[in-house]
Amino acid sequence: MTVALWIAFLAGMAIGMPLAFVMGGSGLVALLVEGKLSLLSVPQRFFNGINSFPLMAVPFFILAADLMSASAITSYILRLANSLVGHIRGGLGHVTVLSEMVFSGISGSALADAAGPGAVMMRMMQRAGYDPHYSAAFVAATAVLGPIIPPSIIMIIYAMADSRVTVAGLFMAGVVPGILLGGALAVTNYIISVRHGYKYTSKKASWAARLRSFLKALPALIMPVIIFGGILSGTFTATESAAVAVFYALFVGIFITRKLNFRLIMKVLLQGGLVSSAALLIVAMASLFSWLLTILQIPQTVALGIGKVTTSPMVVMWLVAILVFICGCLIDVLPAVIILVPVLGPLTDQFGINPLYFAMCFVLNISIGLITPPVGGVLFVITSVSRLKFELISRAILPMILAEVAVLALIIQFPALSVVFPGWLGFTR
Amino acid sequence: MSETDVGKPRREGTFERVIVTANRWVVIAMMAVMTTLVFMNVVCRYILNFSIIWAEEVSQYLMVWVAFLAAGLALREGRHVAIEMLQDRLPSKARRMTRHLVALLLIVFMGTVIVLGFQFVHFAWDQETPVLNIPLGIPYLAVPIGALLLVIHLFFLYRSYIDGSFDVPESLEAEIDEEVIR
Repeated sequence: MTVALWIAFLAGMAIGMPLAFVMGGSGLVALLVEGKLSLLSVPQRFFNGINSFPLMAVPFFILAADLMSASAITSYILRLANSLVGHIRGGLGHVTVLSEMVFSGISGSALADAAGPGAVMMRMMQRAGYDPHYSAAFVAATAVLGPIIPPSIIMIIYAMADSRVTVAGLFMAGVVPGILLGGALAVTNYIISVRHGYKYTSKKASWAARLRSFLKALPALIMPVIIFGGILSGTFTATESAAVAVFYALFVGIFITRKLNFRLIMKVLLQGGLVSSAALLIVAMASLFSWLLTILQIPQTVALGIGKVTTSPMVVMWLVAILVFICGCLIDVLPAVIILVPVLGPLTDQFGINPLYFAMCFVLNISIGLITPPVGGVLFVITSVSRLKFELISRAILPMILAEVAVLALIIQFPALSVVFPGWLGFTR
Repeated sequence: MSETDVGKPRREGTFERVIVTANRWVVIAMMAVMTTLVFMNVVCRYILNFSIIWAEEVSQYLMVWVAFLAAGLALREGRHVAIEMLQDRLPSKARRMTRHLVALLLIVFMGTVIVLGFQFVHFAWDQETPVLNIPLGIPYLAVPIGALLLVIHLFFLYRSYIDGSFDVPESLEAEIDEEVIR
């Protein structure tokens, strides 16, 4: 049965079958080969795999971010970021980092960030004289901030797959690593800009001008405040905060920027439905797959194998990190989370590792997988948007991958970076 | 089909247009209702001091329905991620053969899910949902109906699927002023 599962899985991937169906299909094949378990588990797992209230935050955060971008809020955020850091050497690169940090606080998806505001920043960098491949690669690298700075769709799905952590706790755990990641990217951009002689791009803005652009961007900046304020004060759950964010975005788009009309709202609802469906279908079908892995006792086998090699939690963390990094290069993020978390999550119990710290290391690691070739979702998006060669962007992105791996190493080595801030706010898991 | 047909926009029949339009409006309505329910529940709890007890259950089922009912529409727009690196390296004839194979496997798999899905609905019909107390089989219908819709959409777009050309949706992004930064 194990063999059948893996053969069907690899064959399906190889011929280019959509990932969701690869996981559902290989699960079905394994069940047919085994012959003893009821085939009714297939529809049952599909349904129950996504019948969850916390998971509803996924469509809501997608809707909220889509409404915000349809409301033309993007250019206000870019303007604000430019007035704050545009004058520093490598200016537009820093503007990209800062505005992406703000977008990350609104949207939960790296792919959406790369395709929307990311593509705009890339074109601006290219026009200002940055190397086209560097521009594309840098914008792709900053999109990794999306799933690290909350809200984050990957974190929601992680918390679904592992009940040892909560969505709210994981959101708070992402704050410090997110800031570190932003800093690391800005430093990388500064060094590369000095080396390649990229000049300043804009005049230093006066504080009055900064205040003006701040006020313009304020409606967008309030959104993360609502999400966090709501979760932190215990007023609402992560899912409810996402639903509130949707209505706040509607309010901004209709009454403040006045860009939203009935037709546009219908389009946002439809597109949000399709994007959510594609993500949820992966979760649904992968839940059959990961259930089979548990039946086959793969998690126990892995834990036993690692237990033979070492008993040190830190060594375990590094072994897991290497494994997750390789998986991140080879498979897409969502399936990786749903397949790997049930397998690796139990390790925390056996080796006395803090589950929240483990989760944060995992999420950061697998998110870097978005920009590592050969399979990196954000790389694919940026390749198609920029019409440049995938291989050349993959080469240009190496320094940024290194910077992000350095941050990952820090997060792994110093658990305090991920657990102290949420603990301080009262989230221990 | 001759090579010259490749890349030509596919003409949609009336039947197809009706199905697509209806499917879209159902998804839109479900998204709108489920978001509003969760939001209203928060508002009611804090302002009017009561909870809509069925809101959570209904919105949750609606999300599952959206996930399955929108799957076919997502397929039309090529939104189901697949790793096509190997496919892309094949010569065009072998590539088309591979895509035929993928489409065929999809139909067989979804066909099985339709059958199993209806069996499961039948099996669960006597049980009740926790809050609404309706037959549990009703929410479970999402799985077979979604799979059936996906197969119908796949039949409609079969030829474009083989060519790898999908419906491209209009961008939602409001016109971003790209001269923001001078």
